[in-house]
Amino acid sequence: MSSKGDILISGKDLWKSFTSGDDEVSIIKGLDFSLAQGESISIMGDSGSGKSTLLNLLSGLDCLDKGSLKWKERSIDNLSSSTLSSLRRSFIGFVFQSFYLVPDLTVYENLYLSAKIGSKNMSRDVIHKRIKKYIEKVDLKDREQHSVTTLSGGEKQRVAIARALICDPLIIFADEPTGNLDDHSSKEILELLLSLVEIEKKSLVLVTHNSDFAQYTNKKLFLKNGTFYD
Amino acid sequence: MPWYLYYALKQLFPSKKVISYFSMISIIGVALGVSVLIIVQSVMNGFGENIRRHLAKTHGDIIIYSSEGLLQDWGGLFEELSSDKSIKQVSPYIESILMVQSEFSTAFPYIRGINVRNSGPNDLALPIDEFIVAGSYESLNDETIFLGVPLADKLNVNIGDSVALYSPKLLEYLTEEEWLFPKEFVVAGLLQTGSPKVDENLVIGSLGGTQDLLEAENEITGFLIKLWNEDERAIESTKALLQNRMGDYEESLLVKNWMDMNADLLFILEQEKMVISFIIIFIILVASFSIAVALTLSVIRKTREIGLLNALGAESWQIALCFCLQGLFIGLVGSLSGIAFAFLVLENRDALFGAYLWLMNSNDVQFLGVYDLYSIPVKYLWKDFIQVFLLSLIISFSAALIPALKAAKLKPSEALRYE
Ligand SMILES: Nc1ncnc2c1ncn2[C@@H]1O[C@H](COP(=O)(O)OP(=O)(O)O)[C@@H](O)[C@H]1O
Ligand SMILES: [Mg+2]
Repeated sequence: MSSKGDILISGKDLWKSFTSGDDEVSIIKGLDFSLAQGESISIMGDSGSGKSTLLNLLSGLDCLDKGSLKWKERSIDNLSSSTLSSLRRSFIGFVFQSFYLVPDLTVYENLYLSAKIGSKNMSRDVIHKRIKKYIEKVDLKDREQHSVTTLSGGEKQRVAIARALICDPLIIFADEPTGNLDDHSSKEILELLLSLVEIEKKSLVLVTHNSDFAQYTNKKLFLKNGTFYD
Repeated sequence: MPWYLYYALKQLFPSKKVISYFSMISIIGVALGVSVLIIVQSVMNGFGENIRRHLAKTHGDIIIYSSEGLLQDWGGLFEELSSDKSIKQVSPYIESILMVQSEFSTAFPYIRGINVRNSGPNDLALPIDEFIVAGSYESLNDETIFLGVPLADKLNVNIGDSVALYSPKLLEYLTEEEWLFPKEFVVAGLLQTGSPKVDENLVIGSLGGTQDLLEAENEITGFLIKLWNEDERAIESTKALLQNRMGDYEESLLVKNWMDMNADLLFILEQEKMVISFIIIFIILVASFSIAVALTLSVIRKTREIGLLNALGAESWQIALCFCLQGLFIGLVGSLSGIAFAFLVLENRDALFGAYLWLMNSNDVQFLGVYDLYSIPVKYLWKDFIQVFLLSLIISFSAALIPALKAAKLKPSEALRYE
C-alpha cells in the first residue's frame, strides 16, 4: 500500500489537441499535474476549457499528443489499451455528471457489473458483501432491487458513487458530479462523496463549477487556455 | 460467469422486463427466417417423396425387357429371377399400344397384360388392387379389362360395358382390306393411379387375354420386379447386379429401375429443390440483416455505456464479445423458436391451408387432388434441420460481429462524450 504522500499520478508537459473539420484546436497546452495519496484536488474552469479532457488523459481513456504520464512511478505512455484497462480497474473510480448507469439494470446489478469488470479474483460472496456494504453507505438499502431508471438524480449519483468505490480504487475522478442536480441534492451528494473519500482514504480529483465546493479540497486549480492558474 | 456474459444476458433479458424490445424483434426476425426455411424444405421434401413413392408404385422397382421385341422362352429366366434373394416379386407382363373403341369414342392407350391366373393381388410387382376404384381384382380374367378412370370417361363406358380392342397387327390387316373383327372385352374395373397422364392411357388385362389379343402365344415384353428393400440405393445396386447377370444371359436384355424411367422428372425435381434452397438463403440473409441492424442500433444507442465499460476497466475484446454473445443468443433462441414454429405450422398445415383457401375464396381445392395429395405432404429431414440451425447460428454470430467490432473500436473518451 502507498502511504500518505506517495505520488499516485504525475503528468509532465501534457499536450492535447483536437481536430474539428480543418481546424486543429489545442485544449491542453503543456500542463503539469500531480496527485498524492490521500490528496484531494478540485479543478475549476469555464465550460469547454478542457477539464473532462484532462481527466480522460490522466485516466488513460484518451492518449496524449505529447508529454509523459506516470501512475505510481510507472510510465503509462506506451502501454497497450488492455494493460491500461486492467491497471485502471484498481486505480481510478469514476463519477460522471450524467451518472452513466446501465439503464436496464437494478441498483444492485449496476454495482455487480462494475465489481465483476473491476475485479478478476473477488469471489461472488465477497462481491455480494461489498455491494451490501456500499449500498448501505450511500443509503439506498430500500432501493437495491429497483431499476436505476426509476431513481431520482440524487439517488442515481449515489449509486454512481458506490460504483466508483466498489473495486476499492486509490483515486476517485468526479467530473462535475453535481452538475445535473438541484442545489439541495448537490450539497448532499458532495458531502457524501467527501466523507466517503475521507473515511476510505481515497485521493480525489473533483471537477466543479461551484467554488464553495472547491473549498473543501486540499488544492484548487483553475484551468484556462490549456494551463492551470492558481 | 464472466461479466461480458452477464452483461449480454442482462441486455437481452433485463430483470424488470421479460425480454428487451430490440432482442425480441431480432429473435422474431431470425425465427421467421428459420421457420420459412424449414417449412419450405419439409414441404418440398414431402412433395418430392410423394412423387417418388408414386413413381415407384406405378412403375415397379425394376423392369427387365428386351431391346429386340418380345421374349419367347422366358420360363428359365423367370425361375432364376424368382429364386433371387433380394427379389420379392417377379411379374411377367406384356405391353402394347392398341385402339379401343366404344359406342361413343375411340382411344389409343397402352394395354398391359399381367399374370393374374395363379397370383393374388399381393403377388404382383405393381399394387393393382390399390389403384382399383371400382370393380374387384378377382374379376380380371381373359375376357375382361380394367380401364383408367379418365380413359373410361373419354370412352363413356362403365363397369359391365363392352369395348372393342384392336391390336396393331389387326389394324395392319384392316388396312390391307381383310375383313376381321376386333376382340370384345368387358370393362370389369376402373383404376386410378393418381397421375392423370398415366390413367389416361391405362388398360390392364390378364396376361393370357392380352397375349391372345396381340397374337403373341406365350410371349412377354418383360418382367416387373419388386424388391424386398425398396431403398433407392438398394434398388440401384440390385439393378447393377441384375444388369451383369442379364448381360450373361442374353445380350438384348435391358434392366431399368423406376428412377431411370423417370429420369427427366426426377432431374426437374432435383433442380427445383436446389433453386428453392438457393432462394431461401436470401430469406436467412434478410433475417440476419435484421440482427445486424438491431445490434448496430444497440451499439449506437449504447455508445456512452460502452465508454463507461471502458472507464470501469473493460477491455475491447470483452466488449466485442458482449455483442457477439448477444448475436449468438438471438440466433440460438431465434433458431429454436423458428424450428418450433415451423413444427407448429407443419403439424397444423391442413387446417391452416383450409383457412387460407377459405380466405382466398378458392373453389379450386381440386388442383391438389391431381396428384392425390389432398393433404400437403411433409417430410422432416434431420439433416436439413441441423444445417439450417447451424447456418442461422453462424449468420447471427457474423451479423453481430460487425457491430461488435465497431463497439470495440470506439475510443472511450469519445464514447463518453456521445450524446
Ligand atoms: N473527442 C473530441 N473531439 C473533438 N473535440 C473535442 C473532443 N473532446 C473535447 N473536445 C473539445 O475540447 C474542448 C474541451 O472539452 P471538455 O474537456 O469536454 O471541456 P469541459 O469538460 O471543460 O467542459 C471542447 O471545445 C470540446 O469541443
Ligand atoms: Mg466536462
